[in-house]
Amino acid sequence: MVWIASLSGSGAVRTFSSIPQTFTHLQLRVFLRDTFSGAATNAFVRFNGDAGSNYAYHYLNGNGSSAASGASLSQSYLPIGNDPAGTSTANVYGSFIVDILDYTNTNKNKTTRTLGGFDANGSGIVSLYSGLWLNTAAITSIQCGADSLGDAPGTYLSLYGITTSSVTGA
Amino acid sequence: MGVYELSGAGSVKTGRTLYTSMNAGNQFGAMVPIANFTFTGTGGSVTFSNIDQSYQDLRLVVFVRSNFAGSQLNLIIRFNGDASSVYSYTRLTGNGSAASSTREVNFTGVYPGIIPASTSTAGVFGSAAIDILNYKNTSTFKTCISRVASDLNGSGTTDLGVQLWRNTAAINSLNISDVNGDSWVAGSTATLYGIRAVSS
Repeated sequence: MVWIASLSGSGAVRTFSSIPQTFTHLQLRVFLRDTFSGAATNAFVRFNGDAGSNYAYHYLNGNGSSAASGASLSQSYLPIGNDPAGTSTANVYGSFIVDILDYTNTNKNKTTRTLGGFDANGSGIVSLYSGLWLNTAAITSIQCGADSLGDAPGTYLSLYGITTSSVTGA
Repeated sequence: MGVYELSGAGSVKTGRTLYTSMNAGNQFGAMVPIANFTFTGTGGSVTFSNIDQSYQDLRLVVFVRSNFAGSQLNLIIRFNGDASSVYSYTRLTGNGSAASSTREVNFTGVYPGIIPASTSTAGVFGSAAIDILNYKNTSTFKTCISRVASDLNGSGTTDLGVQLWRNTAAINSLNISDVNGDSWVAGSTATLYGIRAVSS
């Protein structure tokens, strides 16, 4: 696993662009809170700037009292889970690890797997998401943030490349 | 393989900075082992102390079986020696027949999941991976995401969880044990990794 880039700050969604095409898989590690006035919002990703209705997902989650599963298709972005927002317990951030497999392959639609969520000492959610981007293009850029586009200060995103070779320097 | 630093906007810098090595104490790559314990059958609680503050995230990987007299019990993790009631968790559990979700608040430690003990199927250990993002940040509470599993050939559980430590201090030590403080079966292991970012 090799670090590629990190983005931090507040406000609108951030974008990793010109992603190196030399790795086998990608892993996006997300630490996120939203400034939206509600208790929680969706964290999401988009690939190659595509805001068309080309995303689908399944999820399995637990909210502290029950387990649930659902799915949706023809979405304009790919949710990766719920992040805490403005009225949630202060200083609590959501954590998400998004694995994006075979991102350079131009013969496959792209599939993701995300484990994440947040706990706010009496509320919160843990979830496992599978995501699909119906596009065979190699992924060269990734947008990520809260769907209200109001990431709180302290938010950070880190992108890593997963290689099948020994990492021994250039 | 070279590694290029990207600009703050995520695009490749003009005039790339090529890191010819990701060497971190003779370890290459972003996931670096910090410390490892292999248990011999005595001693249970283990503390990783003086944790290096140069990483972005931490990952704890545990493969353990408890000498507790029952069949299974919870792991517990505490940070910076804090045993006060400032921890909570939300968990999603599958036991082979149903999925359920539970929550605890104001607990005295993080409970990521269930591990096997003495009366469980012989030779079965529980595996756990716990990610602690932004562990050195001093303005946010600390959140873990975890997965813990053990299959006992007819029984067993798998847990996904998020855990909260309501403290903004940087994590500089981490203690792991079962909830009773029992010893670990010989062959149990606990390894702490740092996930590095070049800029940190």
